[in-house]
Amino acid sequence: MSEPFAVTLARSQELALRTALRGSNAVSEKFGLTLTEPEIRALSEARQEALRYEGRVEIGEGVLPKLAFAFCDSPHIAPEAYASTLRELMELFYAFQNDAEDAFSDDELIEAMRRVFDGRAQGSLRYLENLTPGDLWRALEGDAGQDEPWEDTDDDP
Amino acid sequence: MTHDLYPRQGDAGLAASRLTGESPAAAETADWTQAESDLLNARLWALLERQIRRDSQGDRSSLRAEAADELLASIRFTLRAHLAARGLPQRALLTGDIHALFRAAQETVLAQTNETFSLYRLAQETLRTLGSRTLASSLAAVGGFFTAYDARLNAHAIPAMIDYPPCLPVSEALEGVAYIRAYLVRLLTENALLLRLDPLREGRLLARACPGYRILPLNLYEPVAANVVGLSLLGGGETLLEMSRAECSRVYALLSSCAPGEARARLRDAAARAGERLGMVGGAASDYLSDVAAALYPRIAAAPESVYGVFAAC
Repeated sequence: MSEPFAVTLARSQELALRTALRGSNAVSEKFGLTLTEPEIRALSEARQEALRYEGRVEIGEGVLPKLAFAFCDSPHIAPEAYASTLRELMELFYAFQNDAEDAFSDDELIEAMRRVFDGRAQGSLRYLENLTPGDLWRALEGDAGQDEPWEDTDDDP
Repeated sequence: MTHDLYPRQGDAGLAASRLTGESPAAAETADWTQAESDLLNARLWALLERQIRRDSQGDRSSLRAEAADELLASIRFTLRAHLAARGLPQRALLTGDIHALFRAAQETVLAQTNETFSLYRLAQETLRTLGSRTLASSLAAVGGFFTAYDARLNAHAIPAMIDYPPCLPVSEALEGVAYIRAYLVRLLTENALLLRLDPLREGRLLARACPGYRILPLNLYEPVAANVVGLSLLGGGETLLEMSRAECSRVYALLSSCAPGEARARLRDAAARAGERLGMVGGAASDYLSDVAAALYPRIAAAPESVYGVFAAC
């Protein structure tokens, strides 16, 4: 009997994602950020888990490589927290799309998240996770709250 | 959806079985090998990816599982419609360019939509509504369907609020334009009988059957057809519409002494004679009246008094 379809499908998607993430290293390493093979594998698995949790379906390599390209030059990501930050950004991305009922394109949402992350949130994922779709729209329109830096009391990366 | 399309052990063949759904060809995939099922699933996934890109105009790489479910249902409906229209076997999905096949299938659905729109125009021009508001509003809703229907991405959907019930219901398994087509065919078939009778007498008959027939979502055909068949069973009647209580009782007496099979056969014979008298020999309207006549039997046979609920007595 041949391999179950679902597993084959997952494998082909994971392979595409891993290839894309390896490719993203070429850009991110210029900023001191690199994903190791175990981290790439873990991110690939985390993606399936996040999609399942958020009740979403994704095609192709998905949003993770886009997040890597968009955030790798952020001054708020430490090299040792790069993979975990990407993972949380991905989870937030899916959650935001659900909250916004898919009103954003991938690029718009990533742009909004990046603006807030580097602006008001000052790199705090805790701050990011409390954003509403309205906050994200405003960020996309240009209000990322540069004037009021977020002070995180927790040990966020 | 996530659990269906996303990796999970034992999902093999899922999309294949879903594709065939309730179609008569469902059994055709029962003997498929695992490899064939896997191949079909992979091809369906390729179509789903294409439709997701199209739905989001290439802007989004993910979507809600429910939305993906809807897109997949649309793909299944479109392919089924095409295979049925062309008389193709399910295995046609396993060979050749699946995207080309899907484009052809979409053209099939569009052609069926155009044909169904012609039926709608015919219904608009010819349906005798006899003052029924629900029939009029449902017909208007069918008109709205053609504006709202998205044959490309939501071909299985029925964007119309339809309240008026045909005498014999349209199968719940039908989707999209196939449902609307079947609904219109029902209405036009029923109308074929209504047009052969005097509308004033029909109106009076309906008022006797249910005074609120103009407002309530009640089928116009059934009470008329019942009296036509009942009077035909008794040998005629000038108009085939006015039926006395005594005649109702005679129908009960005639049929209650028969075995169910024989009683149904007599009702079908009566429907055929009525059809001949009304110039409906053979064809869909005649067959439909025969089916409706046979379906009256359990209600007639339920109790002596029950005939008064089946036939609208004067």
